[in-house]
Amino acid sequence: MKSDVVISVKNLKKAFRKRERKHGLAEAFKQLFSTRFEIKQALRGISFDVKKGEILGFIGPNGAGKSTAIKAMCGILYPDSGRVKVLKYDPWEEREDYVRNIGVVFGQKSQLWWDLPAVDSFYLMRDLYNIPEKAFKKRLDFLVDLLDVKEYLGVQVRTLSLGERMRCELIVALLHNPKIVFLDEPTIGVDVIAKAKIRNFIRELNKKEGTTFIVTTHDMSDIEQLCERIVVITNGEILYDGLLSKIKDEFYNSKFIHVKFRTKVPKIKLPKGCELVKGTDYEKEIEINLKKQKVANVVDFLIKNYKVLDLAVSDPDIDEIIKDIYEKK
Amino acid sequence: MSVRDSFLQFKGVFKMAIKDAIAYKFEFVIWMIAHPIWLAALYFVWKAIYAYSGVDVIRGFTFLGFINYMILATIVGTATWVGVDYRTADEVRRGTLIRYIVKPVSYYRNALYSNIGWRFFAFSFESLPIVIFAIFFLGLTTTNIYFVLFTISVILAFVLNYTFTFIFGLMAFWLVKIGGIIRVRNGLEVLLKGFVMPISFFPIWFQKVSNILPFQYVVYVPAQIFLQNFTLLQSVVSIVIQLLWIVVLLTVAKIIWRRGYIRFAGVGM
Repeated sequence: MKSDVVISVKNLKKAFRKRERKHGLAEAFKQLFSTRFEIKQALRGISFDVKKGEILGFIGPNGAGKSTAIKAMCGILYPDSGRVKVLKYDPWEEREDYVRNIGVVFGQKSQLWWDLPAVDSFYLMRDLYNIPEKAFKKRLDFLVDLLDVKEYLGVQVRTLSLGERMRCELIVALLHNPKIVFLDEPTIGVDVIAKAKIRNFIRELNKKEGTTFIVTTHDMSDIEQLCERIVVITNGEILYDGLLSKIKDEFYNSKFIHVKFRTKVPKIKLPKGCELVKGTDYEKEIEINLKKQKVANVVDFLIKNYKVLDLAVSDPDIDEIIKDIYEKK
Repeated sequence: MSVRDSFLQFKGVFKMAIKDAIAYKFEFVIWMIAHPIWLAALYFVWKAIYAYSGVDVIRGFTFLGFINYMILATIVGTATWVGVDYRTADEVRRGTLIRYIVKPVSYYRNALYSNIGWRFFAFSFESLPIVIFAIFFLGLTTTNIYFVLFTISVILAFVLNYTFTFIFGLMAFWLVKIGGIIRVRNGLEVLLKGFVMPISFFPIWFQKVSNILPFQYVVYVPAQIFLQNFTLLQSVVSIVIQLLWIVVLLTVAKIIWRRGYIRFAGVGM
């Protein structure tokens, strides 16, 4: 492993056995005697490295294999074949030593004691990870401050709102100062204010302490605000691994022009490489294929041929790009 | 990891479990009346049996001796009860088990520590009325040496019972829902542990089978030690056998955990 590479995944494969049956009572009885299993290839041989201090975005549609990859990196799953190495550990074989170096948040699986205030769970971490009292207090204050949860500390976890709870989940996973943090959908179901706080927190910690983050999410604004690099997984394979800013060039060669007219334009004639996305008599949205046409030419064309009131050029939405990538595969 | 670190982990989880138990206080107040009702039922049934059998002593137990045994059995049964199978099955079915896998402590130890905490608290409440009744109304006591042996034996009985209940819980890796298995456990508790009557009340062949199984070492043996129905030598030998059973069951638990967990990780969560 190169010195600044903290995670290296090579040709990781994992298949699951899922029990399956058709609907109906008769079918339900049938499976008592013979159960059909469907083998689902969750990961079909993925490879990638993560460098120290990176915030890596892991995206893909539901069931694409993101969580499986994260679980393999955490040592929860053992791979069918391939190799995972995190820091100097094999996560599956050296689990108990290894997990002291990582922090994990599963958005859908709470690690807090449900019937007790969150602060009790925090102190439990002090004992589980054997954190010295002074260091623990300092760390706790720092995290509580950064995530702004002081007023919820003494409240039974089950009565917290999702956003409040998720911030406590982050604290519980980070008290032992892990070098690498895995966040599996940390913003799922969380409101905008809590989302902003969580993102801020991740950025701060990354900047101040050089913590490496691996984040999966379905919220593209999380990715845009946090990650430079993303890995797109669909169907158990890596479709794209690189800079977020480059994904537009790679998969989407178009720009959009939004134009308003002074007069009624029921039908518009467009130069080659352009397509009308939507429009009314006074307003149109046009997509330009950059391989066939230049933006400047289209703008010229519009101004020459129509009475243009206003005109704006924009990039495609990241959501649209991702949707397109998912659907193409 | 040092012994001190392990002890700190124990202390942390133990305290947590007690806080968890206190969170719903009313539960234990209810439990306080559950055992006296159970004992009252046994009292009337066996009073009738002794009265109509026309003998004073059945299999070495006078009626009072029998009632003393039942009180001890109930106290030991309460002290050693664990629900780790039910909890494990629940964690497996919901997939929440993985939250323990990312912590630097094994699931076995983590659950052991919290069960000790819950039991410590629950036992103090649930057995309180019986203990008071036994000491002040029946004058039920024992000698110092027997009390020490009894205490050791109850602690080992707890670990023993925990470990095989833990193994039961691991069946959830294969079966997911284990309601049936829990019923089996309840049956074993009643029959083989000596929870409703002393093992010596059963036929000889049954006692022979019972001797080679671990169950009687959970309730019957500690109760007999306290009542001084065992000689000192018998008591010490029983404690050694308890230890051996713990070692055997721990090994089994380890193997089954490893195989079961791999299976669990193989169906996706």
